[in-house]
Amino acid sequence: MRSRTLVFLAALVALGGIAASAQAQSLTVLLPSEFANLDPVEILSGDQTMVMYHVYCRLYTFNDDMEPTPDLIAHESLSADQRTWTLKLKRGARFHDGTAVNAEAVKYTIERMRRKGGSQRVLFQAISEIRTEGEDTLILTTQKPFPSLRNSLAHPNAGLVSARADAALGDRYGVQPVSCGPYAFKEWTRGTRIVVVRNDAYHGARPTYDQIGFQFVPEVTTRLFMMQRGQADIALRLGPAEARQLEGAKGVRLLRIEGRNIFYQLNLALAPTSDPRVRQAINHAVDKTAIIQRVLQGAGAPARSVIESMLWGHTAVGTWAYDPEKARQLLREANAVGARVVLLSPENRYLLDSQVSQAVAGYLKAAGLTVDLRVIGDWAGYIDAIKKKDFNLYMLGWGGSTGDPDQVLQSIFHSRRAGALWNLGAYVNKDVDALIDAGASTFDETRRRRIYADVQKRIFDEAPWLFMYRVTSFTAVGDKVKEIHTLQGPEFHYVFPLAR
Amino acid sequence: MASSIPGPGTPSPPPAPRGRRARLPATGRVGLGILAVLALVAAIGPSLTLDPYAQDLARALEGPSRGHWLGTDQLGRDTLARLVAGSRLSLLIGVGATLFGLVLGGSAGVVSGYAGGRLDGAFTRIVDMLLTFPGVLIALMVVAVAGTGVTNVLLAVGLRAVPVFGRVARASTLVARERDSVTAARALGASPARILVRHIAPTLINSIVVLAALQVATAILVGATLSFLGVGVPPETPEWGAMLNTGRRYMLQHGQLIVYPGVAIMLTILGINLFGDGLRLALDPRRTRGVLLEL
Repeated sequence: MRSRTLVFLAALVALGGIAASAQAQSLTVLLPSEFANLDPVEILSGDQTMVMYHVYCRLYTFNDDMEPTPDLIAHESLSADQRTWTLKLKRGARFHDGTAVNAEAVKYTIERMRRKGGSQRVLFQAISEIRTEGEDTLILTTQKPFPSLRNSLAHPNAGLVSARADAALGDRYGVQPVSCGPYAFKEWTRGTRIVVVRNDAYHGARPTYDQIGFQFVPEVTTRLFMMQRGQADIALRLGPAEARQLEGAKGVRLLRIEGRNIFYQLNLALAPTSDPRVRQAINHAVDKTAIIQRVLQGAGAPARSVIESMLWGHTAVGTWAYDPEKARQLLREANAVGARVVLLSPENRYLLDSQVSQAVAGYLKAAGLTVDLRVIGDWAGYIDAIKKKDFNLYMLGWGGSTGDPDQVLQSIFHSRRAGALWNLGAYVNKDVDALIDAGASTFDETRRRRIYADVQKRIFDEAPWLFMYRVTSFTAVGDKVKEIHTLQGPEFHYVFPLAR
Repeated sequence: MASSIPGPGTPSPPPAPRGRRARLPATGRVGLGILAVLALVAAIGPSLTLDPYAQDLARALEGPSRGHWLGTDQLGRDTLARLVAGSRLSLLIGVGATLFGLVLGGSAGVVSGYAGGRLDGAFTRIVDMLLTFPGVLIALMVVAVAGTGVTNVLLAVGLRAVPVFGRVARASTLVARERDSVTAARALGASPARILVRHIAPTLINSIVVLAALQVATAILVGATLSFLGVGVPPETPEWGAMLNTGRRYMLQHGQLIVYPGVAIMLTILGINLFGDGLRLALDPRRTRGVLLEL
């Protein structure tokens, strides 16, 4: 009798434990900004990348040092001429819809990417031929040696797409994606959140949580309050003021993120910023140090190049000194005193972005320009606005999300992309083109570093950006989160075990 | 919003004899006083304060000092100067939008009420439909289509007031139309236009004036709401709603930034509502026959 009671009690306790652990199995992540879709063809923000990291599997993935490491690859080999890669896939991986992840699926994904032509097509442009051999061998041939192929394949842009789902869903694929990541897409309530659930058939280690809700909370104060009240487990992009509020809070730890390179791309195809003297004047007119100290409250360091220190190959070229008198003089020389410039700024996308833009507008006015500042709150709307190319300056942050400088240079500075994302400012320099191409086609890292140092110097001198700062932000993590990996530059995290 | 109950300490005046001049109750005079101060600040204040746009990052987020009586904001701009400049903008949006709604809605309502028939039916349906939308929503839709900026905010807020004025003007016209004087004028062969302007419009003044006074408050609030939501005036503009929105981001370090514009909005709305309520009492035909106000 007594033993029965004990068994009953033990069962009750066990049930309670299971219920409690079931409760603990769901995670809430607060993202500052929403985005249009989760399609690897067009990745336009780090917050989007973070969600995709959980839904999409890729041949390679990034470790905490942002080096590509094999994920779905069982064996890789490179031919003697360094142009042909033979990649043998692991067996047994399945998409969320049950179809097999095989060489054909990878081929389909890369061809789809190239066919649809998103802004990151540059990552795969070097590939000249894709062949499959049997079920699980993929043979990629590149026009020239292509050293950052593994980086490209590790980026969510190479997130594998289920051909069957893609055909069935058509245009809706991007808003209900089907891939083979640790979590499967469940639902997207626009303006509110995206829910993903554990993929029990995941090829790697079993994902920790039953589900993860990525909730969109643009207001930084709201993210802080939700974190303080235990309504969220991870909150991204808190500023120094919010971080101070959380210091010493029970059950919350803070991760310091050395994040993106924040800059304003200048329009070289539109007056007055088509004049190099005006671009120099703009760089001299803005006191970056004061902005970092006062607006960002110390959360940043002045940018010293178009490639920041989150990427290897970074060269600290220099900074444009704050010199308002020189700025005014350059504007006089360029006959641009009183000229109107359109400045586009996002809001809640980067740390204190619209506040920084107001400060910049104030400095440009003080230098003698007429500034038309337009702040656009939603990120998708902001992308539409910058694509119209009627800006003189627009704010952007770039975090080197492939871990290779080639991506930044190809995307923003190669004339091939002039007038399109992300070279909307139409920077064109044939010498720089040649150098970028040279750097992208040698495995000799010493040579690549030398080339990139040269490129950075040349670009810096032409002032195609208003150089600003590398931003520091904070991520708050609750104690329910056991394992979290951080990619600093792109400012995102993933909460499943790293592939081995 | 506005209440028709007089505040404490205001004994209801006995019904005034015919022809006596109306007097504004005490609370109404307090409201008028607040408005007078506000108008004075809006008129001459900006010439006395610093440049509300001048930024000085080295002096950002400072408390009150001799140079900056109310301290500075996150870009080191003088809070007092921005508050004072904001009074001008708020009054401009409040009064401008109300006038816009009054002229457009009032004239449409009078014509509709006088003409009757199908025109009136259609007008009533449209007004009823528009009134089912919350005012802020109408203004938001207008701004979404037309874009942001002071002029567009003024139009958006004004458009919201059109059905409000339209309905009151039409109702009053329906009553006025049946007056003997109007029947007489019609019998004498007066044109509809003449009847509207000479015989009907004057009878509407009381109700429209009271409504307009109270609508100014609503217009200022809706304008501030648009800016608070970030779809109103450009971000650097010293507008109270926009200041509140920006201040919210620095709430934890520098709470004053949300207190000042908040209090400014509150006092302005209080003043207008007190004055509007007083006006209503003073002009109530059950209390007085007077049209002219003795302030």
